[in-house]
Amino acid sequence: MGKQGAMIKKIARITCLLMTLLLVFISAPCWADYPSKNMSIIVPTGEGGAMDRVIRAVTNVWRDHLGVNFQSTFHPGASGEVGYMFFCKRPADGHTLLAGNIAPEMMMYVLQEPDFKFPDDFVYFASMDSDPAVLWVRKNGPIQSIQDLVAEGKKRPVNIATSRFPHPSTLAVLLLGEATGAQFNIIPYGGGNPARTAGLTGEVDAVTTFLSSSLDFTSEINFIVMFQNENKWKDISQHAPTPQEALGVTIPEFGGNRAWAVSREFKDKNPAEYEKLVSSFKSAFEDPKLQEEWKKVGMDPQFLEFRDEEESTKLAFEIIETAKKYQEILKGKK
Amino acid sequence: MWEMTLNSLSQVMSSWWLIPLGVALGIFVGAVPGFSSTNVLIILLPFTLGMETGPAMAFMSSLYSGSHMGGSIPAVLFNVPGTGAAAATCFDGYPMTQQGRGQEALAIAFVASAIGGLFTTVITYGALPYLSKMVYYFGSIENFIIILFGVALIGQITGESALKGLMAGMFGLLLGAIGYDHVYSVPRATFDIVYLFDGVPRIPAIVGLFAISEAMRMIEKDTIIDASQLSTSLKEGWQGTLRGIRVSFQKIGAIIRSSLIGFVVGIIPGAGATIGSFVSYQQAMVFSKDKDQFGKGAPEGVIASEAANNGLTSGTLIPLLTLGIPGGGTAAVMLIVLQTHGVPVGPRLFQVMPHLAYEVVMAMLLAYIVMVIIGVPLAKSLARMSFFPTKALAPTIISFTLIGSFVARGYLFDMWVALFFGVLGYILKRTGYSPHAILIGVILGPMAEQYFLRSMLLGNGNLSILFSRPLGNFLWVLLVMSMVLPTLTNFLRSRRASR
Repeated sequence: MGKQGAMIKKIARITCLLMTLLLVFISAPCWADYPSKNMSIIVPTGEGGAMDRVIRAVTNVWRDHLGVNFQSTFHPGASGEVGYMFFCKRPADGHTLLAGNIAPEMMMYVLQEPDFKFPDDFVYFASMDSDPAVLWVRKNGPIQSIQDLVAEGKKRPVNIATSRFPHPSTLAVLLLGEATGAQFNIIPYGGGNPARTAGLTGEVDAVTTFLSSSLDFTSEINFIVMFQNENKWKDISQHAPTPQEALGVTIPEFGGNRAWAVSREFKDKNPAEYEKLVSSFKSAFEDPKLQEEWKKVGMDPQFLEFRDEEESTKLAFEIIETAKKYQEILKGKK
Repeated sequence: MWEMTLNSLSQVMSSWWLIPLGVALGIFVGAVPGFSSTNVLIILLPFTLGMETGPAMAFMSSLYSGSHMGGSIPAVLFNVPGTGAAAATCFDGYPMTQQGRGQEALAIAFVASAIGGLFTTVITYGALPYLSKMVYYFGSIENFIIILFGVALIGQITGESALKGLMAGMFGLLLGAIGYDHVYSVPRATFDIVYLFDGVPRIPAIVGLFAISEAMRMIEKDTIIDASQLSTSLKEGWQGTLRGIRVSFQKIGAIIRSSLIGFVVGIIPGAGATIGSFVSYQQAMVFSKDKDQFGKGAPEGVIASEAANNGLTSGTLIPLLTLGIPGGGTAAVMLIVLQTHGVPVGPRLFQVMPHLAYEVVMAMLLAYIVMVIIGVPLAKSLARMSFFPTKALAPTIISFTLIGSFVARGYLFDMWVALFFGVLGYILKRTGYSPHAILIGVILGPMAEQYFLRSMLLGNGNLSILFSRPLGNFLWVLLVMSMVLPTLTNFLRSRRASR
């Protein structure tokens, strides 16, 4: 019995040791060989939109540089808040990314005061494009220029469609109204497609949106102003003037910047893995294949513009400051 | 035109096998609660992006058409509407099954789907470029009024008592108001639950109210079918299918009318199949001579919903192909494929690649023919599923619907929502309140609110904006007539009878 008992104890000890080693073996690769599994992307907008197309283009190249595939899930709702909330609840293991648009989503952050904190909960480690806010009218409509629009806005409230209230193009139009004395009545349509439809069918006088999302309709619409200090996209935007060029007024630049975010905790605890993630994206961005993929999904390579974490974070804080400054206007209280 | 027809037919036939494949997959996807054609097309994107544009579009439009027909199968047999579009099919399809007429109901659903879809697809083929102009006449005001046709059903399907029906409808509208408001994103009754920010999830609410509550009631009986009808139904051969086909052809006028309603709703971007089938059901009730039979197993009810949601599919293609505007989720996925292949959508499509638009419509036309061949003979075998004992059916239905609730958005929370609505539906049914009225409130309430608020913004808060457009005013007149005329006709009829 004594010998047998000792044997059983020995077997039990070896089994425990093996089990422990197995557990260590199972959990260790997560950090030893990052990424150890496919990357999950949370998208705070719906499928089928511009962000969906951009993600497909970028991940088709990025997967070759990071060595794993990407899987997107779409969590639209509450101007992006739903997607960000889910992203912040996911494990901070660096295998979940968020693909968002800095400007509209940081405006949502200020206006809706959600339950996550920026930059405590996540970092925008890179942004990949620069898409200016524009205002357009339909070609056969009564208004054909920004001067017409402002003149009409001084006679009556002019209806302008936007995808949602917390959006840089909405703020741009409201500030243009303040600067010129025109009355602009903002109508949020809950998405880019319905807003563009309202513009094309003549339900509203004009539409404010990002340039890239309206390029498919250039044969039917006129871009009447671009909310930038200088139009760097002249050939694709029908040489739309800036507010300064058209009306002599200065308002801040507004646009969108599609960006990638990862958990702050992951970045702080795993600097080497974080660096691998960032550098793989940078090399994918510099890969000539990206331009081809970008074109394939109907986007113009002119929008591609890389910003690193520092620049993206700076941009996000600038948007937060602007949104705070004009939050009364954006909340419709002024 | 004939040359174009022959060309597009030969193009589609060069990859003909994709059409039955798409239809069969669509029927399967539609029959599984929670799955939708949009979800599956997204999953299959790598496959369709790798194909040539024409075959890819043919496959996608076949799958889309098939999914609407597939949705009717669980709706008729088990009161499980896989999608919002099939919810109205349950109203009469399931009572028919309970009466032992499941085979007939399925045959009616399949024939109405196929004829309705064929009819509107032929119209689309013949007048594609001209129909795009219709999009310009429908704005937020017209959409709001169209949704009101569906909301009016609350007053018309009141169940045992009008007061209880209206109370249920109001409760549904209140539930529908949960979530961030559509203009200023102000949270309402979300209790800080992130899953409710976008409102009460539709699929879990539908399957809970209809399927789970019904599964709970099923346990009280041995089979779905009334005991008195069971032995007759078990012996039935193809008679049910033949009866269904005959009834469908007798009511061909109703199929045409319902498919046209669906078609018009389909052309309006953003309206969707749910609105189409509810509006069509409401209109069928108004025009029917047997209004009292609605909700109790009226074949017209099944026809109204199924012909409308299939009549809608070709309508959805019109804004996509002619204007480049995707009217719904499935059209948005099709747009990705078109853009990835460098196809210029919108008016330029007819200048650069006019054949492609006709190929897509031709594929849909063939898909509906395939649907008749695949679907109708299946009615007999499918109907036999309703003979299964409830002790096996009820847990299966609950399991499937819970999975379906999860699949739609991928949140575990949605399974709890389905269970909540299941228990609620069970209590409502036991106490004589109408779960249909609640459902209409939950589904159509937020849509009506969204279009109403938008109309108010367009009119700077002035209610008169709702009466400022000719088409809108015409729709108002139709709406009032559809609500007043049945009462007036009944009154006159009873007066005449008393004389």
